[in-house]
Amino acid sequence: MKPEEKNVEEVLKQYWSSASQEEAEADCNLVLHRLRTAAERAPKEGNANSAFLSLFGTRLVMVSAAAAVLFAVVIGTMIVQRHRAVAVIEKSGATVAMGEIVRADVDGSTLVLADGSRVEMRAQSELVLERADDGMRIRLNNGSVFVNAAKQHGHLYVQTKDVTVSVVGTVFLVNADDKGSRVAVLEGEVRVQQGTVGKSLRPGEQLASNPQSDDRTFFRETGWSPEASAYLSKLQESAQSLAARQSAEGPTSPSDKPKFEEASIRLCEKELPAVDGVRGSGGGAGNIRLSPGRLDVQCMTVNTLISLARPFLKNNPRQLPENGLLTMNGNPSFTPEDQTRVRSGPDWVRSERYTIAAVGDSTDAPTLQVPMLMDLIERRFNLKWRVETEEIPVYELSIAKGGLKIKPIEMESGKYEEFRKIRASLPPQRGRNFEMVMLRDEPTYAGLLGCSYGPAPNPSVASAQFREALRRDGKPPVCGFHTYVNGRFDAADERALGPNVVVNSGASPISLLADSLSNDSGFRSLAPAYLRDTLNGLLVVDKTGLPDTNCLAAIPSAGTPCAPLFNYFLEYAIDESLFTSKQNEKNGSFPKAPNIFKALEKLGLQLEKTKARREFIVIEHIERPSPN
Amino acid sequence: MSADVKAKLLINLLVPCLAAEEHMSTVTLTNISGEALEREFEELFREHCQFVYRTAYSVTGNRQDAEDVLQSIFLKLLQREFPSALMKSPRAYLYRAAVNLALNTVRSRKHKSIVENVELLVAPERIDSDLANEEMRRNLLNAISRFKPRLVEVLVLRYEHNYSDAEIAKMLGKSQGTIAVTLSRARARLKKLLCASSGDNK
Repeated sequence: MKPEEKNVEEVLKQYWSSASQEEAEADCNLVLHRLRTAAERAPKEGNANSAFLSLFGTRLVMVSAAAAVLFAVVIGTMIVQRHRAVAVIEKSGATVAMGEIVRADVDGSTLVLADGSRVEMRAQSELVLERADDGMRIRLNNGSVFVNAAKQHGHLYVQTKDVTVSVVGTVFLVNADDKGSRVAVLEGEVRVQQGTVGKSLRPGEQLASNPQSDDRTFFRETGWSPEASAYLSKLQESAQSLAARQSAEGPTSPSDKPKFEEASIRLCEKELPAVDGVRGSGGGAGNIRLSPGRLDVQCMTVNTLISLARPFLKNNPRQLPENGLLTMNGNPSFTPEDQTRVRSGPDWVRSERYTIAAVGDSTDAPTLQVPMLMDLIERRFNLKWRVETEEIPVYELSIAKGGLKIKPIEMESGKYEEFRKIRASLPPQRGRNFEMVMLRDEPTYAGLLGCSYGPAPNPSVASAQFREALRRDGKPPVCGFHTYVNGRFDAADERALGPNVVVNSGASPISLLADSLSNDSGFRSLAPAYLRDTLNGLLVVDKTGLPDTNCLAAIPSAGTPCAPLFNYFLEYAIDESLFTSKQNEKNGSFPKAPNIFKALEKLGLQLEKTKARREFIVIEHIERPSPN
Repeated sequence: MSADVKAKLLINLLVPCLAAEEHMSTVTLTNISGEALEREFEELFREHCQFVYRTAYSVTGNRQDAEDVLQSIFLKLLQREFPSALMKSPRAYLYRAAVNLALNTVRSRKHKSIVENVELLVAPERIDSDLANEEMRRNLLNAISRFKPRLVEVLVLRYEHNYSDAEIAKMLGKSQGTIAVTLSRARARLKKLLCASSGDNK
């Protein structure tokens, strides 16, 4: 190599943009899922062209309608052959008549019933479709099925040798083997009849006909399903509502306490790439992966792990999106805990990194993740801890005296159910806020709110269109929570350099706005970069008093109101200190928006500096881990 | 099954459909094995998706664009007749398509003036404290986007897929010497562009 090329070679190696394995796998699966979904939806909806375009047309503007028709019809042929059949096997296109025995092949099979219900069969499972007095009965002879039941005119039943499950518009899992039957509900409600005893099951609940069978591991067995990740995502939501219901019933007995039974914990000997050098959202040091019945931690400090095991400390920045819990099969990385959340203890809890592989009870339910992780640390590190509080300055986002100047979107209760149904069919967005991504990227999801998605135009144009739509009291052109830096466009840099930030909110809760303004070390948030001076790097907490239950994702428990969703437009000025003097000079020609405080007034919101009590964990006692 | 055979099978399955496009009906199409088509298409996709995705990512520098490139390429396969290059070497064909489409994506982004779309509450990534690193990464992407596709093809094979000169030559159907010269020129041009973007013209 020539001497002058040496530097360039180093630059290429150091700054080359590479996707992580996680990203590549996840996005490949996402694309494949979209292709399959298009094939599945087109025939059902009876309009291949529009169905296809609704799925792809907005994101892939280069795909012509002709190709769309071709793809949808060609790939969808297996479903259109429905000659007097009551169901069709999705992969082969073979039809199934009443009374016919259906055995799943080695890869499993999916049956699509005439009413649109889907029955996903585990490999080697066997069932028969039968006519019932008021609908259809699936007689499960052996194996496991996931049933995603469409709304019935009559009833859909699943019968095993010892139980009968009756359903209307729900998603559930049934297993039948020599030991008995097990039923678990992911969405909606089922009625399980065993002899003369009947019981209703709600989301997150399960039942075993044989008390001897270990139903705690039932959800762990979902790995056979290609849709497992979507089901597990649904299960997380179900478990949340179950947890809400169970909260009043007190803790479970110690013997029932789920835990990681076996764990290998070893010191991370080889120093992995420095945290700052990690690109993307996974891999390298400090990452954690939770999968059904399994935990893998790569080179994390103990106090980081403790902070993840106790994520709901009051008045701390959220570490994770959505419900603040780890996403199943996600692989997020974390910078070492900086003693904000976890304090005291010997120095090694902040310096020594550990790699952990643990297996045990199912971690599928999010309500189990936290106690199981803390239990593991308590047992293996002999940890004793307590929670203390301290007073810290914060900014409170609250409703101004004059009241909110924006109105929540009116949502019919039935619409939430539609959202949840579509949500269940979509792949989880690992580590991302599902609603905001899907409202942006998934036309059928956004379509329920009358939003569309198209290639983002120049932000100033997008913002103008958005503002105009809201002025007319119409629906926003784009749903989701979008922020742009708006101002002078630098062609060389391919981005705007300010001086304003624009927020276009289409059907998002106010809590997202608070999150976006908060000085948050875990998220890519605007405030640390753009409002560091204005908000003094402080946490912004949501004190609007508005409900925060995300009914798009989970069925709210009785009496719990849904988080209201708002369409609004907000534009505020970025701190001038962010720019160099040269940039400020150039930005000078672009009209500057009001500061964040003034901008919020237009929405009927205010930011007030106040004090709040922040919770943190104090390590009372800890030892290096016991031998494996 | 080799990639060549799979590609041929895919073509065999699709060409009758393409010919029948004008007079398409359920009856004619049900004669085609949807299952075989789906399986072969999926196998082709699975075999090359990561290669295509990584190629696109290294040129566009972000997931969303890489994902769009991947989707577009495989949908285009269903949109039109298959070029002979695909039959000859699916990997090489898909690779070139990925580079070209990724470059088009990056260049059209410039014209559309999409400046910044900060997606909040995404994966819990760290805020990169070293802004200079990010700037250098962006400068590198900018510089690469100005290259001709042939140069980019060579660079991505070397720095993303870690191919040797000989492997690059085989993949692109060039001589090893040509590849060495191309790489050298690419580095020299990169140096010039990077120096210019950082204001260092030494």
